[in-house]
Order: sequence, then structure tokens, then C-alpha cells
Amino acid sequence: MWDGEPFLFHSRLSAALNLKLLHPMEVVRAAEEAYRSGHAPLPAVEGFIRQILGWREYVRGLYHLWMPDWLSWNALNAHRPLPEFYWTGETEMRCLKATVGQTLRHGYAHHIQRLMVTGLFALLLGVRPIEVHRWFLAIYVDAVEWVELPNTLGMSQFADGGRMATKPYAATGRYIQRMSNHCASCRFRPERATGEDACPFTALYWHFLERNEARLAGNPRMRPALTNLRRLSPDDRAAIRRKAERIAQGPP
Amino acid sequence: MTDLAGTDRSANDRCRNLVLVLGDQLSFDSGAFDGFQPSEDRVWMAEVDEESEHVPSHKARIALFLTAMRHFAQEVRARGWPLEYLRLGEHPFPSLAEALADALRNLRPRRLVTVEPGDWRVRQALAAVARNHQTPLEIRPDRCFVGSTEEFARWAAGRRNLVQEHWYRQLRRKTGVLMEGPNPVGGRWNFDAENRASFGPGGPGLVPRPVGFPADRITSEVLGLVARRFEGHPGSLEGSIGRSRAPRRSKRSPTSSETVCPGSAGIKTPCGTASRSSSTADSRRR
Repeated sequence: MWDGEPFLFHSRLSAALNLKLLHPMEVVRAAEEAYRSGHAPLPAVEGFIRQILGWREYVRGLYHLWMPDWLSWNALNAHRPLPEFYWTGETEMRCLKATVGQTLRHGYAHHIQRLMVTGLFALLLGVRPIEVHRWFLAIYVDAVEWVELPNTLGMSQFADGGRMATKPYAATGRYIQRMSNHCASCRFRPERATGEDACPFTALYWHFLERNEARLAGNPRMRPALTNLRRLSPDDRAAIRRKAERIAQGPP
Repeated sequence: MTDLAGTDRSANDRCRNLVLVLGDQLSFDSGAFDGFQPSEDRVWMAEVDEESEHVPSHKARIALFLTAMRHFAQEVRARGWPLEYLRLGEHPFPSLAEALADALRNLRPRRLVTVEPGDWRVRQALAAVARNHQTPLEIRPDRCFVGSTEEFARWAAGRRNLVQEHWYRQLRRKTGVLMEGPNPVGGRWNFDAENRASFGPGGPGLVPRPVGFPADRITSEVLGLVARRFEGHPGSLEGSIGRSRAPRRSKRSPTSSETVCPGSAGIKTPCGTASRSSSTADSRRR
């Protein structure tokens, strides 16, 4: 992710694919040909093909397998409303401002922005999954329910309790710092969970773990994160909880 | 008295198949057209508010669907196929179900044919309308996917965990994509580890400029319609601007009246001739 770069190197073929103006095999064969003729490296081509031949086909299969049950799942018992800034882009959090802003401007954000900015914030905050789903379905030009719903409710919000993803995509602001330059011009500090300049992602991350500790304890892939949670002192945990609850009252 | 111009249909020349094409099924390779006989069958498409309003859709999303549908309809007509196309604002039906019910009453097709809808809600609605009008509904598999829903259900049956990687390998084997005989090219199925780096402090460097296409008459009309009819919806139509293919380093300076949605490369002339441009590798998700 990079400030002022809404598209980067993403192909933006999803809308054409999802309206069936393009057949997935046309795209996949073109990518394979780029590798075989020496125009693109294998890791890039394989990763691209995996998105279309693997992930896209997989979520479509799951959608038809599990509808309409999908709509009622809320494994993490999340009940907060979706913050208003998802519809306006008016927030002080730089990464969210950039992602929602370009989403409103173009009807587009690439998958890391969807998963690790807008999706992540809703997950950590504990937004009602159906509200997150309705936003993602409404706001992206490439959104058709068979592809949007499993990605949102399963991969991003973990509302299916892990039927699809092996663990929640939860992270602190440090992930966004590592993967972008947004934090450099943001007033919040990704390494801080408490205090005036604490990054809301970071504060909410710990609160998310605390809230869901019992639910996630049986998941081996969550063990390192939960071990870190248990290392926090009771005072730190109380301070983070207060901070997170203040953020939830009105995200900045 | 029979109308010789043929605008009325008597009971004897009832339409055989009414072929329903949804806004996300715009392919002439679609199974919906298998065995299509212009003399007996007709295509049916409808623009309805419900599809833009059941969730408050972004203006660009609405515009994209409408312009793609209208371009597809133009191609259907160019083939000389009979087409019933309902344009927004020119019919009284708020929903697909109500528009279709009216069509079934008037055209009295022997059968309603469509391809698996990509939306459970729509599938339920179509099935209910067909049932209420005693019209057999034939739902055909969607060939615009590599694996069928049936194949997926078979794969899923009896598995405890449905792991994307396993389904992916099955489709690699089925299609032979990046395969050398029974083995994956390069000796590995998965190169994710190589695809996770960040840009570093220097940033992304030269970024390809999004491909753009000028709005044609149909798209311009749709943009006007959406701006008026869905004024209160989220999002802007102004950001649907992109221009040349030249690489650039900094922000684009927007130029007017260029295209629909840089968020959607490849939407130039719908009707199955979408462009094959600008597929750069995109590989960080799983």
C-alpha cells in the first residue's frame, strides 16, 4: 500500500471476470504464457493464477455449498454497528482515510486494503458481520455476492468460526506500517496501544484477543498471539481495555 | 384479427424458451444460449432498482452493470435474436421478480431458462416466480467457472476441512495449467513465500498507469442516468477516469470524460471481447 497509489500493480480484472466479460481461463492462460515466454517470473505468475484458479473458484464453491447459512453465522459474537466513516472517508486514521477515500472515488481498493485495512478494522472493532458484508457488497464495482460474501464473512470477519480461514486475519497497526507508508503521515503511532496517540488498530487488536481468548484458545495458530496477550500486566490490559472501549464509542 | 406485422402472439406461437440473462452473466458462451432458436426463443433482460438498492450500491457499480448490460443487449440485437429488454425508468417494476412475473404472464413461455445465479437471493426469487406462474425453470451450469458447483460439492463431500490449496491443485491438474505432466512447473505448487515482501522505504517505483477507455454513447447515457436516479448513493462517478498506458511516478492529473472505472480494466466493449491488457501479477493474498 502506498499513499496516493490506489491501483499499484493490481490487474483490476475482477469486475470484467465477475460480469463474465472475460473467462477465467483466458486470463490464466495469458499469465501462464507470460511465464513460458520469459516475460514474468514463476512466483508472480503462480501467485496470480492461484487467485483465479484457486481462490476465486474456491470461494464460489463454498458460497453455493453454505448459503443461506452463511448469513446467520457470527462466531465471534460481534454486534457493533459499522462506523459512519465507511460511507464518508472522514477519519483521522490515514490508512482508512486512503482506503475508504479511493473506494468512494473509484469503487475500487485492492485486496490487501480490503482485507488488512477496512476488513481488519471491522474485525477488531467487532462489527456485526452482516453490516460489513452489506458494505463490501455495495461499495466495490466488482462485488457479486458469491465472491464478496465468503471473502468478507469467512476470510475477513471470521464469522464462520474457521470453516474457511484457519485463523482470523487479526493484526496490529504494525502490519500496516510494514506494508505501507501510511503511518508516516498519520497522527497515531502503530507501536502504541494506549495513550493519546495510540494506533486504534493496535489498541483494538489486544482488546479483540482478550474478548475472544476463550474462543480462539483451541487454535494452534493463535497460540503465539495469545501467549503475548498473557504477558501483558493486568494494569496494561485494563488500560488497553479502556482505550479500546473509548475508540469503539466513536472511532477517530 | 391477426396482426400481420406480428406484434401480437397467438396461443400457437407462444415463446418456447425465455432465456433470462442477469447482469453478471454477460457471455455469449453461456450455457443459457445452448440450442437457442431465434424463431422460437427469446432473450429477456431487465434493469431494476432493487438490484442497486437492496444494498446501497456505489454509483460506479450501478453504472458498470448497466452499461455492460446495454452493450450486451446491443450485441444480442445485432445477432438478430429476439430480445425483451426493460430499461430503468421505462417500466413500473421495482424488482426482478415483479418484472419477470409480468413477462411470464404476457409471453407465456413454455420454459424459463437461465444460468445459475451468483446470488442466492436472486435464485430464490426466480424460482418463486416460475413456480407461481407454473413455468418450468431450467437452471444451467455456469461455464464461466473452471470447476462446476457439482464438482465442488463432490470434492467437499466427506472432507473435514475444505482447504483452498487442495481444490486449487485439483484444478491445476484438471486444466494442466503450470503443469509438466503430473508435476507442478518449478517443482512446487506454491510460491507464496516469495510474494510477501513490502515495498521498503523507496516505495513502489514506477507504477503502470491504469488503462482507460473513452465513454461511448451508451456509457455516457448510463452515467447521466445513474447520476440522476441514484444521486443519494455512495461514491462518485468522477473517479472513473483514466488515460494512457504510459508508466508514471506521481499522481495522475484527471482528464475529463475518459472512461468507466479504472477499478475495472477490461471493460471496454462488453459482449465477450473485453481487453486482455495490463495483467500484472497480483499475488499477495494467500
